[in-house]
Amino acid sequence: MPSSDESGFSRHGQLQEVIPTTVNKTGLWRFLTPVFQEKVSPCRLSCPLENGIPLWMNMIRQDDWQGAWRVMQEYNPFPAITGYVCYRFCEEKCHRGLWDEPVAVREIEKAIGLWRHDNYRAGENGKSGGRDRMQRGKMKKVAIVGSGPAGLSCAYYLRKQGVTVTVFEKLSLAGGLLATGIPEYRLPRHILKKELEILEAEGVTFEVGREVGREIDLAKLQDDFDAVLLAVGAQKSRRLQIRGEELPGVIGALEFLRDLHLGLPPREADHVVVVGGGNAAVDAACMARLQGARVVNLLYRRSREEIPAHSEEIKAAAEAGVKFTFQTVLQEVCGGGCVQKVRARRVASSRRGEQLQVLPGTSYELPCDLLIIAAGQESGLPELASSLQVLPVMEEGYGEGSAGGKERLGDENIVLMAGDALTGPASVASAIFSGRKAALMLLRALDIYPEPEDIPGIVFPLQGEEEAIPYEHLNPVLYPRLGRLATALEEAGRCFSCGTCNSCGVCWVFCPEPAIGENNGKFEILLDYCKGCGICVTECPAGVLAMEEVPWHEK
Amino acid sequence: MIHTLVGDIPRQEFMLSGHNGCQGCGPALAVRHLIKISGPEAIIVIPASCWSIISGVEPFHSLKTVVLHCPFPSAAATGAGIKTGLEAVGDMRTQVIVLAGDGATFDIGLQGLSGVAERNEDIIYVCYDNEAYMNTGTQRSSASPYGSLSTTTPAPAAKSSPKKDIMKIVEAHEVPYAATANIAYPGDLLAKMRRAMQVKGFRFLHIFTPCMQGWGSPIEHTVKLARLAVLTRLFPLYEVENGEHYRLSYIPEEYLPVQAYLEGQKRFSSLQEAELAQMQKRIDRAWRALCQKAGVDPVIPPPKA
Repeated sequence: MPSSDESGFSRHGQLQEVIPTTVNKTGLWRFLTPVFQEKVSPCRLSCPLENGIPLWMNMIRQDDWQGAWRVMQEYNPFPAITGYVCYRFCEEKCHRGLWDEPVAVREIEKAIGLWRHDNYRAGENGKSGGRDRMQRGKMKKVAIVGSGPAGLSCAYYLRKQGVTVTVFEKLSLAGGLLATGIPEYRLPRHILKKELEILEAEGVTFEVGREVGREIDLAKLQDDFDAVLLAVGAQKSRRLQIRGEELPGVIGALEFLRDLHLGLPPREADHVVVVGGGNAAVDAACMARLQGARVVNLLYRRSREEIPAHSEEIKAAAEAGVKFTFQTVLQEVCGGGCVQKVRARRVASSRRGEQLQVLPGTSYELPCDLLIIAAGQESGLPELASSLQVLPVMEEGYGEGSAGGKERLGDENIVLMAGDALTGPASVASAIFSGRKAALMLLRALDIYPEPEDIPGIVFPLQGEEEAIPYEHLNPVLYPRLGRLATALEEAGRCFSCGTCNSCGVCWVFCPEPAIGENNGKFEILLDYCKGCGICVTECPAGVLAMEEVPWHEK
Repeated sequence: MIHTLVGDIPRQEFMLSGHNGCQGCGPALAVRHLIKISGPEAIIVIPASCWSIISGVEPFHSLKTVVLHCPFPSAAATGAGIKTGLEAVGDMRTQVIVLAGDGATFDIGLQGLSGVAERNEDIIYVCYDNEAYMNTGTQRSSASPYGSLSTTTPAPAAKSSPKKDIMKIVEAHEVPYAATANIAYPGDLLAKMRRAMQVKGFRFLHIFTPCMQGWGSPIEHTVKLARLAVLTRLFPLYEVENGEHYRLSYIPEEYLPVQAYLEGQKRFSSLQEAELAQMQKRIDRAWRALCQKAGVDPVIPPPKA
């Protein structure tokens, strides 16, 4: 008599002839087989960092902050910074937004970052598993030019493998755009300071106030280091090429912000005009207002719908009292000795990329004693590049098997670019991403092959062809409709975990067989008994399960 | 968050895989959860019904407990008899659970049910309702809803009378505990079973268990349809104590017309527009009446004319 399950029978079950039905392999009834197929979540797809948001959400849901940080740093080593400054591309695409309200991804990210700040212990890289790793990279030296988000992120990933990293910064203050571009009301400086302290404690050397190309020769860097990363950002404001632009009192937006953050005496101004519609323009306008300017006019050449600055920034600026004027261009700057007024005129509405059409007879004057120009930024690279013979431009693709590393970069004189210097002005998140890619390429060029961390679910990289899992594949009915919740722990529970199995157990709960078993916290289909009804596929809230035809012999 | 509906469900299974239930069987799912609460000590009485097959034909056995098969009309009486017998030999603890389909509850076993309810016998009577005699090939029962097709009410002669309200009949006996439950709300189902295990006297659970084979729907929609029955308020979840204390277990957040539930079910394919309106009206009326009994505001706005 088969007796596998007899032990579980009750004290009344004295009948010796009982045969448990487990002898019936009902899996043979099956035509279609449920399979776990993880898909890309819309948040991950829209994130410049390709951040595996559902993975760390799941960790937070289980109150595992160490685990969440371990997953997080694989994608984003500075969650505290992005937790403040990121434009929440993920929340715009969050499927939960179609059900009630998007998950507060940025707030949870910030919480993870702050947890890391509170729980950091120096020398974490040297611990157990990290030691071998550190040995491998120990002999290599990399110079990073620029201490902005791209440079810092590259430094983090290189240092993790034990590489000796030196970061050169031309200003007296490390952090690049984070220190001198982003206003303090968006990124509290103690957050940046803590982040830099952690990097220093991990062994990254900072050389501040040393400009490569002026005080140090780039060629010398190439001699002294095994590789050089140029992450100098795009910090040169473009000019408008109009009459009077050379007058004192005309300044680029980034220069204006930088001077403020370096603590230079503020420019006294009552009437400020800002030209441009990017985030730098809006930040500068806000700061000018906070510096005490009575009137701040922001002129943008296209309509409100076309403005490239993020809506969050515009809202903040409007609240700070910045006056927005759309479809207006600057004609000339007037004044004797310094700026006294500007002449502007209206243009017809146009879309981005279209030629502007000036409307005749609309010229008017605005009083102005400080003109801030934010008409785009240029990479600071060309000046540096003159001393380089070959400038390798980084290609997309940096994962296993993709081009890059030694084959592309060669053995000597490895020079790589990253961040805004490479991509043009973008976001902090994309600069961090660019730094990570550069680090992975450099490691391969330096013959260091990082062992993959033992973290289930980490997938690098996206191939660019993925599509986010559609909302229709989810089963949100299982979540009660409600707004955002107070704590990260509760809020993470609102995440649908689109396309990513978070072991919620709904498949197990609704299986009538039961033919779903649990193995180390993960659920799996017991193919011996699964009759293939597909209830688990219909009910899976994350849309991970799918029905597939499985050939007879593989059943 | 998801746990509010799924609930805290014990991991241990007392129902074995490899049972004879059809693909996507609703009753199998219902009993799988119920028996987690009653455990291996309870004695289960099953009259002729789907579950007399699912639990296994001699010598096969899918429930890790004692199962007694009995004739169609005598389930309630058999259960009560076993309970009395146990008490006679001094076993006051063992629970007796009658597990009957809608045929054995609404039609054939109704007199027995009424008898034990009136005598307040100390048993749990579970009716898993799949709204027809599914085991013998989909003959209509008095649990079949208005407008549904079956082999004995084929198109165009769909069932012309509404579903019998078994809960009202049981409530009229003023039994200690009666509740409705649904496989799409396992947390609630388990909570009610736990409650039933604690109460002394006659306890009645009416569980909604769709049968995809009989209803003509895709087999993967068992739970989805069960949920829609609750969301459209066709099958409200509530419990009654002593025939007077009503409590609604779940109030849908929005008004969902009954069409959402009927769609995709072949048994309702002959339903006409006018009949549908009739059906909706009946649901709204029943919902308002129930809310009144439970002393809650019906919240959900009545349909606009």
